[in-house]
Amino acid sequence: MVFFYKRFFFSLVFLSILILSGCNKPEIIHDLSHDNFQLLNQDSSTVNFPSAFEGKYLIIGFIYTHCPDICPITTANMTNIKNQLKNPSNAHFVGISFDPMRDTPSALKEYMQTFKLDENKFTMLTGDSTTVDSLLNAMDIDAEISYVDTSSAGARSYRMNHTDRISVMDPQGRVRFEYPGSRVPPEYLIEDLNKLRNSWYEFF
Amino acid sequence: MNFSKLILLTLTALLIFVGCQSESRQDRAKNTDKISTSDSIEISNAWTRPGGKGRNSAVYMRIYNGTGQPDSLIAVETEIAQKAEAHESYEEDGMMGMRPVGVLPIKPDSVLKLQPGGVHIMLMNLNQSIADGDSILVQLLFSQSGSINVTIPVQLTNS
Repeated sequence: MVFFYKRFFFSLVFLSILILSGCNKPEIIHDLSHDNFQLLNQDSSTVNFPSAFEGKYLIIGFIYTHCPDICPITTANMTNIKNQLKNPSNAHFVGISFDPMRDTPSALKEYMQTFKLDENKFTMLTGDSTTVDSLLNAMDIDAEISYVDTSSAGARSYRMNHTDRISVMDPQGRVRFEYPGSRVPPEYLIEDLNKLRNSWYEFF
Repeated sequence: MNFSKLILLTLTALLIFVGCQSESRQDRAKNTDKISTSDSIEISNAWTRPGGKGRNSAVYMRIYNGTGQPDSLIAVETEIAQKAEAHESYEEDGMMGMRPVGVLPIKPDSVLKLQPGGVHIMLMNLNQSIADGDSILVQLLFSQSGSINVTIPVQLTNS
């Protein structure tokens, strides 16, 4: 009888852990594990996304370098997340431009210097328009030219409407969390990220 | 079904109910600014973001109207950019955008907040790079109070 109750107790504990973990398991929002997008980083080196970052949790922000307000807030948010994240060794930060026409690798390099982004933890990505569009589509990011201005000297400039997003991708290349990039408090994302990093089911 | 199986099933159901209550976090940021008093137009918490030459930036500040009369911010001038205008960031159909807002009225004894993600002064096409630690000069033109020159620090964030 004592044996039965012991077995019953341990079964219950195991079942509880299983159920609680299972219920909190975040969905796979976008699965890019079998995709390959050939992009360029800020140093003009080719980066196969997402496989180049396999094994890392990615915190991905979407920006364009001519953006004066929302994108710098998103970038500042990513910096705050990086600074507040304990044990960041298996995490990396990626900024993807949705304005590849103007955001050349050198423009992204300048953006990193302007906002003092740590080159060991941040990678900025751009590419040809077709590839970038395919990637944005796969990650459900919309961006469109909203306003075009031509100066007296004939220079054309434009602004963009865009999705405000920071995504968290797991080491297998699957997006697991999405947030409003300029507005999410860093601690909220970190809490979700740590749950993901510490979950036993992620090893299966 | 014996008694122990019944207990096990009941506890399982309870655990599922409790375990599934957790939700993803949502944005709940709040602003709790304090309003200072003055008998004129008072500018505080002014700052701007860094930006490269040819890029854009945004200026943020609080403008308190202590004149006792309605006033309006009607224009912004600066040599640091080819153009400076009051704009607002907005969300529509899940997309963030930006549009000019023209004249910004300020009621007596009230504060106009120019802040990240909201109404701000957009510096368009910077004539030179501005970096963290620099400062820029901006002239604010008010309909009643005339022009006010403000020296604004360039910062990565307002914290």
